[in-house]
Amino acid sequence: MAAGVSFRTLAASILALAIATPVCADPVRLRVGNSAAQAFSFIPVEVGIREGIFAKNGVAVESIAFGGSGKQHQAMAAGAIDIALSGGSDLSYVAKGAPEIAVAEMAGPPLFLGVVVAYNSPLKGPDDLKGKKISVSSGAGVTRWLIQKLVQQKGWGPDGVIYVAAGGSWASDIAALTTGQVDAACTAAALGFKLEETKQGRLLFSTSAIVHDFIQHAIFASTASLQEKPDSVRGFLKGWFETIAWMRAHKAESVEIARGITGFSAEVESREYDLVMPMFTSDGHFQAAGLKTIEQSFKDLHLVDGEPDMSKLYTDAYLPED
Amino acid sequence: MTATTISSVPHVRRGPIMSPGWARLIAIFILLALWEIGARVCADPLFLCPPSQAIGALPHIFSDPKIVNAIRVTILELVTAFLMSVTVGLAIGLAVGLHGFTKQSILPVILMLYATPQATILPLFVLIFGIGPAAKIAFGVSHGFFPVVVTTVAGVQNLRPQLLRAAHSMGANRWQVFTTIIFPHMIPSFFTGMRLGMTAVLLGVLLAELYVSTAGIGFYTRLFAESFSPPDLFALISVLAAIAVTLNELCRMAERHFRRWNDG
Amino acid sequence: MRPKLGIGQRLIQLGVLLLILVAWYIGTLPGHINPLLLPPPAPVFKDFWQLLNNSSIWPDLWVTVHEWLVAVAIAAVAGCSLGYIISRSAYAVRVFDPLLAGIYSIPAILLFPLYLLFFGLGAGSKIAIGTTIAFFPVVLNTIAGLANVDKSYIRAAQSMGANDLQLFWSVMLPAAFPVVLTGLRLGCIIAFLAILGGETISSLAGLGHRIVSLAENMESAQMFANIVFAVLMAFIINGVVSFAEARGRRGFQ
Repeated sequence: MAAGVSFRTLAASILALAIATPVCADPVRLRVGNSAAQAFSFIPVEVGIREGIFAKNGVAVESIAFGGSGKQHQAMAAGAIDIALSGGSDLSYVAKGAPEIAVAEMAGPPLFLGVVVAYNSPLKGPDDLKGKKISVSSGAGVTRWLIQKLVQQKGWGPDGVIYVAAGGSWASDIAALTTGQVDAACTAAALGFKLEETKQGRLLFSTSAIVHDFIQHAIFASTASLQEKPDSVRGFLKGWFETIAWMRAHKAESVEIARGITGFSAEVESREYDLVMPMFTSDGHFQAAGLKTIEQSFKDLHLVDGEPDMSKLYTDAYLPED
Repeated sequence: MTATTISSVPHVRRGPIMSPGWARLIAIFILLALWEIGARVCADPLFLCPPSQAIGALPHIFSDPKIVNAIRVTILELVTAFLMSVTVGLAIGLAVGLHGFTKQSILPVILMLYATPQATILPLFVLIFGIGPAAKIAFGVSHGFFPVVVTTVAGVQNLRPQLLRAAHSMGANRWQVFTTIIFPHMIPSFFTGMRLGMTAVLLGVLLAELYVSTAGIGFYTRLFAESFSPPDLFALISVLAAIAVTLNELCRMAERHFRRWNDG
Repeated sequence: MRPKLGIGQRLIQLGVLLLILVAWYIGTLPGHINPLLLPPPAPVFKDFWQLLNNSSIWPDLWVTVHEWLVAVAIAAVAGCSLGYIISRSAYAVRVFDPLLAGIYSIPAILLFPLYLLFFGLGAGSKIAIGTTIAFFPVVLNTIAGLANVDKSYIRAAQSMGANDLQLFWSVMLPAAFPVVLTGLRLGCIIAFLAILGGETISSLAGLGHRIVSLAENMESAQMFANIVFAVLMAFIINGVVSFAEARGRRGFQ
């Protein structure tokens, strides 16, 4: 075997493979981003695509996953996506001048999030968190604010708990928890169910126990897409709420589709469905109480300068009329 | 003279107990065995699985046409970005490295750019190149280009100017000077640079894939990692590793090829 | 020692930097790039100035620098010694060089969650990832440098009766030094980048931690001020390494 010949053969075959590779270039109508592929909150897009609900409303949806909401809104500012499915607290980006506006309240109470502890942790409930180390996604994120709110409600003072800004990836939350670097993690509630299976952790409580009037998730549309294809945005929103209705009526099918993405067992996914499904709104109208909470969180976290004019950050104009 | 001579006659014992190829296989086998034992004895099943389970997950990976397509697209991005990095890196490395003047003035600037944490300016790549393969290729090049430049410059820096002058005075053209003097001189460090560049390109493409992905390989990597399914994750990583090692071996073959060509 | 830079070379360096600044300025004029993606230079430098005057960055800087120093020290010692041991036998080079190169080509950053699990969220995981990533260029370049020393030099030295140590100090090391140094320099820079990258994925403190939390809050001007700071750090690191390299070279000539 001569090195020269095999080198050429290998080089040629790799080049041939590279050239023969078809790159998908379907015409894309609406590019819909989400801030975490594996989160149940964004599963409805997948369900709507698979069940043909968006297509029925005249939009071809391309789903694009980002590793965090900051990245997603940056990509939106760069014109790379039309719609962003993200946290309600991302309204602060709109306040900071991101070229976008919230077009629907996607989910109200913070049911998706929860406080997860190690399986054999002595902690029994919210009251036991005093003085404990709790991992939150970042120093000024929604998980941080929820815990801060809890501390406020309990009157534990500014040093009521120790915040550990662990970066927000599920893997780092679980690594911190299972190695005992933190006592509790404010993260996806379903991780508690998942860890319970292997007796590594459990859900202590859902963050909806801290606040109920909230905007857990909102749907954002870029200014450009609202100018160029407002009807597609309307079609998407109509399809979204039809999907939510479909998911409420078809638990078994929804759980199966979700499992294909989250990788959870049927039991864990079923529990997550039961816990999280009620947070989705059925019509997308922004609730005044939730907006007020979000406004308060902006002030508490010093996210925006001065008094934000919340009415400028969202619009109900693209919601389906009933 | 080269490893191939030996591996072509594996049954003839020369010097040490076995041919380097076999010794290497045994070393890999030992590493895998250690991993298997370590993973079975003391690892958290949410994060790590034994290699046997990862191999068991390979059919699952390859039976999903979406994942197969993602792998193909990633190979295309990798190869394109790598070829571009090497071409551009070599050209700039030679232009900068061959003249003391440009080397001392431009190299510090290049090194400064190299040291920029590119991940923080990824949004600008998205702005310019969109979120398709172009952004990933560009980001891969932005990673792979610098090691090639730096090692090319290092490779030519001990070249004796007298040799170049002699060649020029004997009427050699640029191409002849390059193939007979410069290239042979820089082969070891250039090919090291090429391999470093390959690794960097892979890192760049993956970081861009992880940043945003429309069902690309980054999407699945993130999904498998965040949904705590190590067998799928490690199966995917081993596919990536196989691609990387193949490209790496290609560089080594090229290196041997050119060394021989140079010697002969 | 390298010759002192002439005025022309300084001018070229200044010119390139100016060109980057001008392109940055023009790109961020109203109507071009959205300031959330790339803020104009003026607010960035204003924030950068505040950053320098405000002592809040020093603890984070120290965390990153400390992680980097430890990672580079481990990688340099381990990489050079292992490289030396392997390069002593042509057989070992043939066995281990492709193996190490192959392992190096596997992107270690994908395994970062494992590092978090084994070494924690703090400095440990960053040191470990920085060490892993810096180790390979050091060991590969050490092998490449030492194994490619012209055999005739070695034979000449041996025929003159040089022992192992003499051979190493007066023949092998001077001949291999430039390549080894290139490996060390690459290792230093990519360790810094890997540590910053690790900090942006998951960390408790450090420059990368600051940058990513500013990015999450879309505080673009402050984020870029921190990036400028990180670039400056990397530049200083590179300057120190180059200085050491020049000194080292002179030491062997």
